[in-house]
Amino acid sequence: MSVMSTMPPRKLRIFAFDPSMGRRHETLPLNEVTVAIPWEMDKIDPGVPFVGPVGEYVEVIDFDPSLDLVYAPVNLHDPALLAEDGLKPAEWNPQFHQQMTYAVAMNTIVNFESALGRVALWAPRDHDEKGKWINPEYVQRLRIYPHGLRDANAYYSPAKKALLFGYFQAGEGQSGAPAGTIVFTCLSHDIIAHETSHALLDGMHPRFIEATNPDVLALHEAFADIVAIFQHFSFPEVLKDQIARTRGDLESQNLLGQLAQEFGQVLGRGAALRDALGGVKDGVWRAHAPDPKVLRRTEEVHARGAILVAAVFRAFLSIYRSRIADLLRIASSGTGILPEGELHPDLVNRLAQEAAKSARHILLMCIRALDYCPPVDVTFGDYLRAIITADHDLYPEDEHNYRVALMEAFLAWGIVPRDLPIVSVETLLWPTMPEAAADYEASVPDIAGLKSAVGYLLSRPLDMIDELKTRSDFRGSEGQRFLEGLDKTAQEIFEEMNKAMGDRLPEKARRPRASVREILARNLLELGLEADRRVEWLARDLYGRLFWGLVTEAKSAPLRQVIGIRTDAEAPATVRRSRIVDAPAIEVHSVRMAARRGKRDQFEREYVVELTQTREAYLDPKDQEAADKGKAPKRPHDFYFRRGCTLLIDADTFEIRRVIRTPGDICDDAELERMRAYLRKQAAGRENAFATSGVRAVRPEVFAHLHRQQG
Amino acid sequence: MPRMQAPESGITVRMYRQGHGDCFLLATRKTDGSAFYMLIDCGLWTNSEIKPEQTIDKVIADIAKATGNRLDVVLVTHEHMDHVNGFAKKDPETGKPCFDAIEIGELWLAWTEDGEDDLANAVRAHFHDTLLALMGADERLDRAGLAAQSPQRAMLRDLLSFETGEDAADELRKRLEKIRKRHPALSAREQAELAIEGITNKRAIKYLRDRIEGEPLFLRPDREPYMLKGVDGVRVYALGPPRDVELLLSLEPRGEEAFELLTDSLTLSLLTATMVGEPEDAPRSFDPRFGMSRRDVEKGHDPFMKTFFTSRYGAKGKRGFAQAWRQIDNEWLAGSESLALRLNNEVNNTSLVIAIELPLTGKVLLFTGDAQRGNWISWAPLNWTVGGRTVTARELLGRTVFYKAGHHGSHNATLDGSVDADYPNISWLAQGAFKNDFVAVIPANPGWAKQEKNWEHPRRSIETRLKQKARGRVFRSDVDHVERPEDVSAAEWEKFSRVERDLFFEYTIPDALA
Repeated sequence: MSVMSTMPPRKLRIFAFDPSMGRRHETLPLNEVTVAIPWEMDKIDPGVPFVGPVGEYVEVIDFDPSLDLVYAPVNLHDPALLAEDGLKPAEWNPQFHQQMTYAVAMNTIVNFESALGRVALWAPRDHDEKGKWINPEYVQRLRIYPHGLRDANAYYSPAKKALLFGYFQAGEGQSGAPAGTIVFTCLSHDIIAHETSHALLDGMHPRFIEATNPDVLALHEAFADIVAIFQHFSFPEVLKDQIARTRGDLESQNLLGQLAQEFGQVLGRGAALRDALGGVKDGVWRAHAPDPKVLRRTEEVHARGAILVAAVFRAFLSIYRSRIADLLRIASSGTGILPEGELHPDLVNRLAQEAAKSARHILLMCIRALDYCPPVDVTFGDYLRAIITADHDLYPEDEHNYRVALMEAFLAWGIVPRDLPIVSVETLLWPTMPEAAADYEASVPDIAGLKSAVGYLLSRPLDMIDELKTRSDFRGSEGQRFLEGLDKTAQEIFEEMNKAMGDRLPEKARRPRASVREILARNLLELGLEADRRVEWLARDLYGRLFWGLVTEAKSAPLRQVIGIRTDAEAPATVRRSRIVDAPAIEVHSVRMAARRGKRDQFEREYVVELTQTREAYLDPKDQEAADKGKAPKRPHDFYFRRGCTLLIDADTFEIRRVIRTPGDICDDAELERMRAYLRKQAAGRENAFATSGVRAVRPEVFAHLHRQQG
Repeated sequence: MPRMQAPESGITVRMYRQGHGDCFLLATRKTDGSAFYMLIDCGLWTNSEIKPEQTIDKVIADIAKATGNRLDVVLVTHEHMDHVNGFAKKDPETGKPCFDAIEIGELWLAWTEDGEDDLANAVRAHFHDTLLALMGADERLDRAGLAAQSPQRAMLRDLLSFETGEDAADELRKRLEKIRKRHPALSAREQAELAIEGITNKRAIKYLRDRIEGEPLFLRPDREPYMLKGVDGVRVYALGPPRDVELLLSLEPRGEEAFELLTDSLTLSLLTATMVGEPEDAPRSFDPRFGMSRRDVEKGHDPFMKTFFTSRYGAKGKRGFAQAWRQIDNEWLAGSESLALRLNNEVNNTSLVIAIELPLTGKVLLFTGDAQRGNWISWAPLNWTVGGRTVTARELLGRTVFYKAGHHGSHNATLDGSVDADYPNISWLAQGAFKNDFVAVIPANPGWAKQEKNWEHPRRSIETRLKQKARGRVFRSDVDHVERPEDVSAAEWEKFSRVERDLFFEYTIPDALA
């Protein structure tokens, strides 16, 4: 064991872009990069085979159903491969394909974990094959099928928790591949990173695949593109060549835009990106000037997503430009004008490093923002606020004006939060508890009293369970089942912890009953990257249920008012009711940890708690009115209307620091109408002559459809 | 049954009520006083009859009697079963085609049927590829044990029936298997072409081509309006199908090579993967030393592979395997449904759209076949020079007083929009003085469509819109008597003269100045 923790990272070679670069003489040397994956991610003893690869997070299963062929899994611990950083990039070898999908997916996970400071979890399985809801099950590994489709398509399947990559025969005019040869999507760094990001985002926000406004799916796509592009840019090697070729041109950053556009070229993907970022005119690539009006008239998911990517890219360029200003002055003896001829290799290296650093910074900012989004019905404006707030809370001082750069870029593209009269870096911050309380005219002292309750819950979960057992408002059998469930999960956590810690736990600590208390007395979410992922999953679930207990208590009424959670009996009959207590239901999604930096540069941790409420909704307002009064039509409801709130709670003081609400609450008919109008419009656009598909906020295999549309 | 009379002036339209499908008989007067008959389409979805006794055989017999066994022109809008299968229909007693009794003067087809036209040939090759790919996909789903009526296959099979004209979606496959046995020396491509030639829709067109002397007339929107032999003044303008590939198909043309269409990757890979007998025989993606067939893996040729694969992915057909929900055996075929829908749209879009213009009043009868959005859009810039005067498509639409609703009144086949819109739409029809004469017909059997297929044909919003525009004067195949709307006076309704029979409706558009 001790050997493992000191192991150097697992290094694996991949194609930097895709195989097409290796076919061009001038780009041949650029085509290979090595990724380093911390050994702790897949703690497999180097002495035993590592096949598949099937590790802790992902499992590569190389089965091609169209040919009914199984490709032998690679063994990354084959001594020859261990010594050589894995297989050499090769299109002709399916085992390299396995290695590449594994390496890029893992690298994406590493970036997520380092941005969020906790282990990554996949979305649980909560529907069976027939689409029926089941109790959420833990899914340990994302499955990867490198040759699962025969199409210019690749997608993340939320139903199978799997990435499916396609391959296809290049046609005439296919960029980068001679006609008749096979193009493998699983050999494109950007496509693997893109699909893995969908899966990671789904793991954090399973409701973000519900297309309840034009931004939700567009954000999914844009986010996946952002991760792919900026993860790519964080390899300094791939940027060097581009930067060297710019020579004295101060607009050198433009070439980075061109590079970003090569994204997924083999798939014909990125057409939307191409349009949004810029284009070649008179032989020179130029970034498009941002147009704040485009967003308003753009509805299509990819085109809309591309606008978000363009905004983030613009911010990246301005950050990069400011970071290299001094270097350019130094290199040009203060004139800012570089001499003719090739750039000095040292300068190229430094510029590339700055670009890579800027890219990494943007990447982490964009990932961290996910903790600061509302749990449902997210918009681009929410995402802007999330980026700004998350960065503010981590780095209170905005030394390099990154936040201003982002805000400026978003505003330039017309991305403005709803109902925010004055837009500045300060007003974009999500409200603190006192601010939110003032907005909703709640009394702050009442809420302050909650601090101790939250602290109690998080630090002494078993006592909290005991206390819940004294609640008088629980319904008989359902309440009983709920309480038993808590005990069961606590016990499960204990067993898993024991298993995970193995010989790390001293002999005497393994006495059953006392140890449950011992183990649960510590805050399980504070384990961060050390956590066993299954324990983390169980713990999030347990704390979520405890938090539910807290929020539903009578004395929490002022809190519920501020966070927009309704528990009054008069709520419309369509608002989903709790089975445990006699009131509208509240779903506590997950309680997880996020990292932030305190005023004195020390790391502090905070809890992210997401609460949502659900209401059955109808397209016809008359049906809605009747159903709200308890006279639901005989047919099933048309869609779900959800509202919710994300709370950020200081892990030391238990103070609620940020309140991130969706506009309106679950009883808000105006918000419901807004969603209804959007869904109705979508349904009309999606129809074909043979299926009037009606409204579906969630399509089965949503990404398969989205990606196919684009191809 | 008596002969169908040509009206004193104008055109009489007989709309047959055979079911979900199109069949229109038009009569107008020749200069010599005799009647000129034109038939537009003849077909229906199997078992979609409005009334069980009003069969397609009866319709054809009626056509024979009404025309005195002579059609001057047969016009086929496009190759879908519900527009053509009547031409392939055989008399069960004699085994001879029902249409044998009727003499056919000319055959009018869209330019997409022209074998001399490179673009047309490319379009048809593209359709055939897609059709074969879909057939292959259905076969693989079948082998995977999915029932014909399972949600993954039902729509695919319906669409296959549309394209082939066969009730049984497997017909094409069976035909291909037979041809493979009979002509083993032919290439796969040639075998496939032979098989496609044999499907009902193709046989129907071939039958018509064989029945006429000489070649059919292939109508194009970029040609002079066409005249009816022996008839004075009536002009037939072809509005569609467009020559612009981007409007015709959902594909982009392939750069410089003008008449080759880029086959999309799904079609291509479905073709390569399924045009062979067994999956193992399909061309490999990697060198044969890589990969082991699933069967061999499961048999345990390599114990390690067997353990690895069956414990993670699962053995074929093994029930209750905990990870079975993650299997992807058929995911690669999931795109075939959207491919089938696309093909259906594209074939609909090759519909020959005609505007028949009456000489005196300038009134227009518009027959759109099943034209889809792209076809509609393409009419906007069209214009012709007739007798030194320019006639625009917009003008023709403005003078339209008789409209055959596109695609049984379904979504996207009658475009919605305003008069000011820059694309042709319902508001462009019947403008100014022509407004009060507007009549629409919807060949459809909504009860059958809803119950058997769950299609909204016609779409409620389109039908409502047409009824408003026509002030109630809308014929729908399944409605025995057109009903007077409440807001239309009895006096006004009185003027709406029509014939309503079990087998057909008849309506005359007179060409007389008031």
